[in-house]
Amino acid sequence: MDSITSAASVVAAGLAVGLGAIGPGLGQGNAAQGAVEGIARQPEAEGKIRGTLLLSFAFMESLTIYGLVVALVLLFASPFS
Amino acid sequence: MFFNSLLTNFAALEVGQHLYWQIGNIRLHGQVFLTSWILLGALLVFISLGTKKMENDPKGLQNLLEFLWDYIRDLARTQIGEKVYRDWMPFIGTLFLFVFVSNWGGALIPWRLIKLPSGELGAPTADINTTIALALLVSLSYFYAGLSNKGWRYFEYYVHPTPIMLPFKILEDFTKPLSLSFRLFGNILADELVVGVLVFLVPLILPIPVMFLGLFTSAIQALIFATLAAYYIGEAVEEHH
Amino acid sequence: MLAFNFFGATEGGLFDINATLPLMAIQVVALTYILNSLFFKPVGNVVEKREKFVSNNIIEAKNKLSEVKKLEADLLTQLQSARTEAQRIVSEAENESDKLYKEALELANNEANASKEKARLEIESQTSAARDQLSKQADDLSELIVNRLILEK
Repeated sequence: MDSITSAASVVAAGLAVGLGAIGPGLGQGNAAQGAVEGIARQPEAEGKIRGTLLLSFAFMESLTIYGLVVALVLLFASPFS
Repeated sequence: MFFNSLLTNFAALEVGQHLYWQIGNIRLHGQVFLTSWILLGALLVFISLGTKKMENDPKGLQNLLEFLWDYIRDLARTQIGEKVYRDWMPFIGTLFLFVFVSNWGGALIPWRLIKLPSGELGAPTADINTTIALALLVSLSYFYAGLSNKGWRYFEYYVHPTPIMLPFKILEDFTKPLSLSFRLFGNILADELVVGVLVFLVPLILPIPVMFLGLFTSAIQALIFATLAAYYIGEAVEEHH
Repeated sequence: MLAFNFFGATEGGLFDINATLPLMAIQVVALTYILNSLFFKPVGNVVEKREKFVSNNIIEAKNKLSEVKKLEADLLTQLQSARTEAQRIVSEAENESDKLYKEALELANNEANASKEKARLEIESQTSAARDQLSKQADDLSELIVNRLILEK
C-alpha cells in the first residue's frame, strides 16, 4: 500500500467515527430530553420509560458503531492493501 | 500493511489475528470455537444444575432460571404475539442466552492470561463469522415463520400498504441481517478494543468503569439482538387486514 | 496497484469469513434444541403448572368469597327479620301488659267506688234512721209536754 492510501485511510477512519458520532449524539440528546420530560410528567412510568430509552439509545449507538466498523475496516482490513 | 503491524505492536492489541484450525480443506477460527465451547459448557452445566431437581416451590438456581424463562417469554410474547410465540420462544431465548453468555464471558474472564500460538481468546461475538451466522439464522427463521404460518400469503407483506414498498421491503431483507450482525460485532469488538487500549495505557483502576460500561452495553446488545429477532419474526407472522 | 480485496478477507483479516460461519450456525441450532429440551420445556412446564395452580386457586377463592358474601347477606336479612320480629313481640307484650294494668286499675277503681258508695249509703241510711228516731222522740216528748200541760190545767 502506498503512503497516500495509508494516510487517506487514517484520516477517513477518524472522520468516519467523528462524523458518525454527530447524528446519534443529537438523537440521544433528543431522546433523553423526551424521556426526562416524560418522567417529570409521569413519575410513576419511570421504569418503563427508562427501559425504552436504553433500548433506543442502543439503536442510536449502533449507528456510531457502523462508523467505527468502517474505521476498523480502513485501519485493519483495508480493501486497498 | 505497515501501520497494521505498527498499531498492533504499539497497542499490544491483536486485531484480526486468528488461531487457525485446518480440517481437510476448510479453515476455522479456533479461538472462537474454544471460547464458545467453554462458555456454552458453563451455561449448560449451570442450567442442568438448576433444573436437576425442579420443585413447585422454587429456590436458589431454579428461581433464577424461572425468572430468566419468564423474561424471555415476556420478550417473545410482546414482539411475536400471543398466537405463535410458543414455537419461537426457544429460538429467541437461545439467541439471547448465547449472545449474553458470549458477551459477558468475553468481558469478564481474563482470557488474556491464556497464551495461544496466534490470536487470542475473547468473546465469540467479537468475530464477524459468529454474528453473521446468528443474523442469517434470524433471516432464515423469519422467512420460515412467515411461510409456514401464512403460506404464499406471506409475500403480501412485501406489497402491504402499497406496491411501491416492494423494492424497499426487498432491500430490507438484506439490510436486516447486515445491521444485526454488524451492530453486535461492532459493539463487542469496540468494547474489547477500548478496554484493551485503556488497559495498555493505564493498567490500574481507570479501565474498571469502562469495563462496567462494557458489561452494560453487552447485556443491552444481547437484549437488542433477541428483541429484534423476535420483532422480525413477529412482523413476518402478523396478519394484515 | 490497488487490488480490491473485499473486507480484507485474506488470512488473518478482521473480516475473514470462512467455514467458522456455517459451523457456528449449526452449533447455535444444536444449542437451540439442547436448550429447548434442557431448559425451556422443563422450566416452562413447572412455571405453567404453578401458574395454572395459582389461577385455579384464585378462581376458587373468588368463588368462596362470593359464597361467603352471599351467606353474609342471607344472615343479615335473617338477622333483620329476627330483630323486627323481636320488636313486634316486645311491643305486643308491652301493649298487653298495659292493657292488663289498665284493666286491673279500672277494676280496683270500680271496687273502691262501689265500697265507697256502699259506705255512703249506709251512712245515709243510718243518718236518716237516727234522724227519724230523733224526730220521733221529739214528737213523743212534745206530746208528753202537751199532755202534762193539759192535765195541770
